[in-house]
Amino acid sequence: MSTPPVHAPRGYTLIELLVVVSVTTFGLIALLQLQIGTLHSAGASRDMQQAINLAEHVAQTMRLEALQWSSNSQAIDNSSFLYLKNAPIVVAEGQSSEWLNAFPVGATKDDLRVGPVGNNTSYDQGILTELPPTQNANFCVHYRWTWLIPELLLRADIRVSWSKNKAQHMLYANCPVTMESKLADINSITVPVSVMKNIFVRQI
Amino acid sequence: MKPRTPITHRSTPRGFTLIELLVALVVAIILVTIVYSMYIRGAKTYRVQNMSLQMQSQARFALEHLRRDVTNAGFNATINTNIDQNMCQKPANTLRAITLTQDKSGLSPVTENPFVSPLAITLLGDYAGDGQVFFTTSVVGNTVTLQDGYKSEVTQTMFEEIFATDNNRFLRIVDKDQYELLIPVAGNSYDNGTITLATSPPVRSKTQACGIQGFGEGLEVNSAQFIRYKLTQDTRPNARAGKWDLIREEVKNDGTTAVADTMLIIAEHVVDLNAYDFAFDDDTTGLRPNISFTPFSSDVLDSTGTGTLGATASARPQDLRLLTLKVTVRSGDEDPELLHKPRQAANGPIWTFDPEPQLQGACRTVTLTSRVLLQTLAVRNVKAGI
Repeated sequence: MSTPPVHAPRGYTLIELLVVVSVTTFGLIALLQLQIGTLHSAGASRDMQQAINLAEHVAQTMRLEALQWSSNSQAIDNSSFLYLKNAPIVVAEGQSSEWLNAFPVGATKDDLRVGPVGNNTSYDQGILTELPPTQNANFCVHYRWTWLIPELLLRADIRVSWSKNKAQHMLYANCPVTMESKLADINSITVPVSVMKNIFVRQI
Repeated sequence: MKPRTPITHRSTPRGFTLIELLVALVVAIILVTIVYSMYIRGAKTYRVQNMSLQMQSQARFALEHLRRDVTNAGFNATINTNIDQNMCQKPANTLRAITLTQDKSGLSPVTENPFVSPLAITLLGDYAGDGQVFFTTSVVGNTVTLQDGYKSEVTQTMFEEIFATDNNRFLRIVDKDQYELLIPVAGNSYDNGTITLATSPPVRSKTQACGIQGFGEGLEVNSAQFIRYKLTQDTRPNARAGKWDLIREEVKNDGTTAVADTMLIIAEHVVDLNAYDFAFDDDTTGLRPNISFTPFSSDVLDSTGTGTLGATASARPQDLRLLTLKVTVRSGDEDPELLHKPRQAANGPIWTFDPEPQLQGACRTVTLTSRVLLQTLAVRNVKAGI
């Protein structure tokens, strides 16, 4: 005499509805995140452009120094050179120096990062008034010398590194030379350029 | 037997209660609001990024052009005829590889955008021939005849462009002793392979140390010209107010008059063209290069500075080794939510630009720089000392 349970048509429960709404929302959020991610990659390409620009800027400064490096004027280890004087003393083909920080003086004591034209006031006094060194100071610049032809031609590897996202902004502020290997946090590019002794001077 | 009334109650079809519906609605509204605000934020970021990318590409393109042309300043031409010892029979007006002038005392509207005073950069070099040199069969009077074979090198169109006659090209002739002459081109004929000069080059004699010897056979010739980069306001009918573009134009042999119909727009919505950190070689012996810096363009202009890169006798472009070029580009449209922050001082940061003050907001700007080493000038200086 027991009646079987009647499975009459019924609406959704509140719980079901909430689940559906939240799942849909998460889906939408995921889609938007994707879009925002794409936008961030556009920002990353701007960082990359600035980094390449900065590497070239340093390269031209090195070449300017090399104009004063000649057989009858300044020796390469002259203390007035910022970059050239750090070329390895033992001159042999393939001889490299250590990686060095191109801008060892930071805006604050612990923050060695520089903006898109560096922070060297003796070479860049003019442009630094328009692009202050504290503005967009995201970049660490390291360089290394290698002798290609002893006493004549050097290669400079100029490496610009910057953190991938704002969360790690302070993590590498003091620009350790090993930071480049932290691939999870760091973007970096290395630009090799050749720097030649000035042979276009008159001989004594 | 137990009664089972609860089951029959539960299986009755029913809708939501009012409370349930309200809770669901509130939750849904909250979620939709979150999603919508994220969408709005994303759309705004997209707009800003898109503008920024456009500005970047305009500025980068402009600097690439400038860089290439500035690097070639003086190439197969002269650095400064005042001091160029290779330049024999100096032209009536002094020719210089690079000249800076203040082109605008302010960029309109000046009240909203103070302290913005872009430069014009005038360059002399082999810009039409792209480094192509030709050799002569003869130089007789004012007629230069080229050796056969030039037709396989250049087409008629290219030839007539390289040796254009409308008072905007020089013919550079290198004589047997490497002395150089720069003489305005007056006519050309592709079929005959001849170039007619405005004046006859000097002929070598006991009293004339340099010039054409005999029939002038086997001499190297090429063309040289002035070009200029500057900002110009877009005055075409459909252009918005306050739209300035960076242009490159050819300049006549006087070094100041633009040649008609040669203007090329290099980049749009450009706010400033300037240069910083000029490295000069103070050495006069050619033995020991000795670099010193002049930080601001206002220090090298005739009008406000020492005129070291101007157009007077104090100009010394031959000593320039390096400069930092700077281009600032603004977005095409104003952002209504952006507060305009005018430039605070000459050479200060250009944060924003306000081309149309009657509209709310301001334009974002992007500033790019490129440091250019003037190789040609460095090498030419050695020759000048010989």
